Amino acid sequence: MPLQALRTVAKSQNGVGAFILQCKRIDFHYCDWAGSSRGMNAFLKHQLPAFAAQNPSIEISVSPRPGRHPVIKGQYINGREKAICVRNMEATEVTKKAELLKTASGEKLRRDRKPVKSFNESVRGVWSPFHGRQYKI
Amino acid sequence: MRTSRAAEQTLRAATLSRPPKYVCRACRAQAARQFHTSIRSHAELPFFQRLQQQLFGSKEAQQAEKSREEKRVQQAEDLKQRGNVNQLEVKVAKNGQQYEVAAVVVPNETTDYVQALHGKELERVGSEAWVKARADQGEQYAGFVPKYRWEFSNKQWQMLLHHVIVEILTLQKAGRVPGDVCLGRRPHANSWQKTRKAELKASTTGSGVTVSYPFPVEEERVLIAIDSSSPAESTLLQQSLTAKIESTIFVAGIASNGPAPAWMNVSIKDPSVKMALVKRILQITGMRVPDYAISSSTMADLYNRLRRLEKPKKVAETPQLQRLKIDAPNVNVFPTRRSSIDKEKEIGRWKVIEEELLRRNLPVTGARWSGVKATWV
Repeated sequence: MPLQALRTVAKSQNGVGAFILQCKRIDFHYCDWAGSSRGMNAFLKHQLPAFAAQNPSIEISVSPRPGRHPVIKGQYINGREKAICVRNMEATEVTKKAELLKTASGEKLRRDRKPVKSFNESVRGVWSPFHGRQYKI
Repeated sequence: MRTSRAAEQTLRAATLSRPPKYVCRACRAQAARQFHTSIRSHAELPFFQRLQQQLFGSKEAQQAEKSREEKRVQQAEDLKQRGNVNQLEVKVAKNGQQYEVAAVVVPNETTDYVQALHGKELERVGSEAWVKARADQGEQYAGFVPKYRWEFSNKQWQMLLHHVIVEILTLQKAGRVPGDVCLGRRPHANSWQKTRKAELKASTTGSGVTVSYPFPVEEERVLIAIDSSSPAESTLLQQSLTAKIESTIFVAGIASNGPAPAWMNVSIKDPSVKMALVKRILQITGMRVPDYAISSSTMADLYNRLRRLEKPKKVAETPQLQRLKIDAPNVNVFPTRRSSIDKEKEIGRWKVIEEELLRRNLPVTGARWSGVKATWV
């Protein structure tokens, strides 16, 4: 009998073959006048060039938002957006928040109740009340 | 009645064997007010008399009107006796100032009186200039400080300070009082051009600064131009000088962008020189030099305190972000706020949205209120 190929497609998983960064765009909003934007302004002047050079795949836009607190907004491949207000933060803290947005997936923040997460089926079968010797139908 | 009750209470309080411990000031004042030695209604006029006075005037008013009429008639008779109507009567007021009494022209009696049809040729009284002329009493006063304060750029300040300090030091060198720099200038003297060529150096004797000209003739001309017999510069001349400063070509050795040039390291500790400098700056620019600037020991200090500081740059205008546009191709820096319209334009959807809004006769930008298109009748 000739061999038959499996009628399945290989399951793709981000990072197994190739890795695609989920964050596609980060917007930095600052204010020229407000005091809460000092750290953000310092980040934009001194640390943003390095951040942009390390992440050439992320589109970065810098625009003022006068009279408002500074904000970093990240847009993701799944179409969602995440924003973090960085008011009254130092430049280093703003960097950490930018890194946080960069490494996020765009999914909503969820609390995992189960200890194990897997796409594979149960190996020994899911229990039902009809399992066991004493039950005869 | 309220008044009698208050009076009764007052009397009760006064006659009590044990008076209350405290009576407030308002109550005491009210009690005092209620005290009358006569009945109020007896002082008032009866109704008929009051009505008569209102319609026909009181006797006192009638007598006053009569006396005024008599005075007017007396005045007219005096005028007739005097004969010359043009010569006005001169009186002396309480403060000793003399004034002329205005002529009383009775149109019925004066044959040569012609009523004016328009006000063009009549004397205008009461304007600001009229009041000022009256107050000045013929004296022509030209102010020291110009009416308007002139604003100069930093380079213009440098040129101006150089010009002023050179003139002051030239006067000092010639043995004249530095304060003479505020005197008038001879017409067409053009000492502005001559002072540009002068050099300032710290003196070898250690007693301050000296000024030297390339040609001694220019120094003499600068001194001759400052003339005590010429009138002090009026506003017009100041305007022309400041116009010269504003339009002057900057000399590289005197004015420069950035920090103060080298010639400004001269000391101005001499009080007479500093006083003349401050006065001349006030006379030309109208700027009253503040105390912390006057206490400067060098011209550079004075300049740094007088000059206009650069406006702080916005983040988008800083060199770091300007460089970022070139160095990092994945970064976009925008100088203004990005609105939703800008975002739509980036995607290319705005054209469609705008067309549709116009087709539906809706506002493209501005109010979302449906009544915005309403027109006022």
